[in-house]
Amino acid sequence: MSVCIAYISPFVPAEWIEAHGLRARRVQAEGGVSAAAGACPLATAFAQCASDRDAVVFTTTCDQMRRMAERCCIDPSRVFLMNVPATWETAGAFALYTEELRRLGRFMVRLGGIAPAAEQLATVMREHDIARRSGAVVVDRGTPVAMVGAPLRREDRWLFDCVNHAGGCVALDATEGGQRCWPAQFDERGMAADPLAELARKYFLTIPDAFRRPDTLLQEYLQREVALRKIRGVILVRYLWCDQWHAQLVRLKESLKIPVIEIDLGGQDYDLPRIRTRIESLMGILR
Amino acid sequence: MNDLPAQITLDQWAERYRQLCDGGLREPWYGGPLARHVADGDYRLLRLRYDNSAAALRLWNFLLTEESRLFKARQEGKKIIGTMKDLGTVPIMVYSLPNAIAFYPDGAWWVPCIMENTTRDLSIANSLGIDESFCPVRAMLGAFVACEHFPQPDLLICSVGATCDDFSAIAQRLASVGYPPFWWEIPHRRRPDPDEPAVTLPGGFAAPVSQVAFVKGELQRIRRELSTICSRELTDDMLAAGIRVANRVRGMLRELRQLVFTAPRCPLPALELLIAEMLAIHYCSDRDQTLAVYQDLLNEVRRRVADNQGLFPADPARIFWVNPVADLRAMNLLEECGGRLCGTEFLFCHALDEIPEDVPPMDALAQMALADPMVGSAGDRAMRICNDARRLNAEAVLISRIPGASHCALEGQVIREMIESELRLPVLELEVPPLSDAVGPAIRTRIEALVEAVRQRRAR
Repeated sequence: MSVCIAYISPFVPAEWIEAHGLRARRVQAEGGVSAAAGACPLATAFAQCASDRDAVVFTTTCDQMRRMAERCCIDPSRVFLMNVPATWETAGAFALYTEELRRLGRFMVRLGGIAPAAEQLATVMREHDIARRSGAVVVDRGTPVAMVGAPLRREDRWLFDCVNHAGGCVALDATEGGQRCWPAQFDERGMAADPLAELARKYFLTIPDAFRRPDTLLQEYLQREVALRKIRGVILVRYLWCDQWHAQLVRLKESLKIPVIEIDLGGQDYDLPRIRTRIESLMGILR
Repeated sequence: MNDLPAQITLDQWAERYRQLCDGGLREPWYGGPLARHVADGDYRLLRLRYDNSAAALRLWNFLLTEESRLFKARQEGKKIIGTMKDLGTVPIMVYSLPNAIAFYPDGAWWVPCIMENTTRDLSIANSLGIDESFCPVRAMLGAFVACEHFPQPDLLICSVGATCDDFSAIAQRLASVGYPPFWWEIPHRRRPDPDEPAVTLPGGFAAPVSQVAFVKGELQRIRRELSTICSRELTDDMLAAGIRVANRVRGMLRELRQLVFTAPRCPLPALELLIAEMLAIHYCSDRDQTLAVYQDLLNEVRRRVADNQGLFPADPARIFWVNPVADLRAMNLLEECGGRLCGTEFLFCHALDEIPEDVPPMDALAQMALADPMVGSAGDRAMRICNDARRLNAEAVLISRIPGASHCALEGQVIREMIESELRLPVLELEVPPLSDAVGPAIRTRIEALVEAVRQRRAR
């Protein structure tokens, strides 16, 4: 069986991993209530979940994830820390991201992967594109809300049910792992000319996130999608100690001009009844 | 006049100032009695203990007049450049221009301490969603919005990438309320692959040549922006001259630190050393005066060392201090508990290392920026701390955590583990809030315990 590469960041293209003949596994973290005060529960959970994988890719998209790469209990030669620039408007930042993909490629070759031919990469990209676009978006009946923010752990998925039970539906999953973090559709001409460049372009230049500077991609994305999907409220999910998403709370209230609530995930006092009550209150307000 | 070194209170400084004046004290224009700063709202001064030398007086007056000096520079037509987060690199570029000065709005992180929370800065930050879960540097956001503590800069330059999340988030919030910075990227410094061309950076870390080239490209963007704002081309010759002055500043500070850390009797208190180190980052908005302040401090410390004069009772515990403190009072506390500084790593050791002068200036600055201990792995930083602590004969290490700072939780663990395994020294990790009075007894007890552990080890 081929080597499995674990990752969590949407800026790690699964297409690039699979084109090298390896398995890409986006980890849905579990647990992670940390003993260390101030340590991100998600980064802790990811490091724990990734520790029994063949190899793991961390990214520099947040300070804690960057530092957690050092704390992962796995042979350091099987840990790859990928530099994802926070800035995105300069040619230099794009070139750095592209070069990091090449470096990731060399890492995978050391693990037994095979550097892909251009056509091979383009084929995998087409397959992923089709898979992403074919997933029919089922919108339940109910008051449409957006779930925005950090990636959810396995145990956090109940939040969607909670919204449904309270009379709403998540019409926009803008958590990390939801539609927000899909790259834009690949361009055939771009793939024909240079598939790696096209892959880098669509991942680096179109995925909006809170860590990017400036964060205009995120603001524009949310304003566009909220209007398009007639979203009436936002549930901002973030992990305890996550500054990047926490700082978005008041910002989103100002820019979207609809009710926004924030839910802290993964603290030691992960208070399910309180979270449920907050979601029910939001839905009550929106009805 | 009694010139023996001592720590004195602000009240005692009034009499001491009179004595110094009677003895012929000559001060620069920003001089004067320290107590006058309390009238400006710097209430924390009332609770600190100070070195009693004229050199320390000048140091404090220099620090506490930065705001008025910035406004004066604005009146003189100089361009005011706010540099954020990189701690040391961009100011060298700014001061290479004749008509610009740099300051760190980040320095507002000490405002809640110095002014004992009597300003609106933190409440404004709260109202913008930047609450107490963030690092005290959030005071910077309030300071901008309230238009207090510094003039509005002509240009803001902020490094992001391998930086603290809290700072990056606060800077983005600042942008959203009308203060967009010029963003530049500092990538995470990685260890070069075995077959990859590499550079040894100032301070000893290694980085791939490709990363140095990338940072150089980023600094080139800054150079163009500065040239535009200042209507003057920033040439290589100007930068090389700026680097030479920076190295002069750093050389003086290196000698000062070496004397303070290694003299048999401590010749300068921890608080004054912390302030002196901070000057090196951006020259406290006046490069020439920083040199003069350092010269006075060096003269005083050299004299004390030569005369075997010092502060504190005999043989205090030699403590290596990691991270700057949000409350300056904590530095006094170390000495009250029976310790003295024998080494420091206040997050900006790259601003103290000599910058190479045998490579083109932009390459040298790129190397310096990448040598920042915060942009590399915690393991690298811990290794450097271990090496310094070993070299300086530290008996214990104190890691002060910065409240809310995203890097502290994991970094502290890595540093602690390495010190315990490599040096087998006791380590104390504690969090110091901007005003530590409420937790002061607990902090005191913990530092006393650390000092006691050192004494027990000596007795064995």
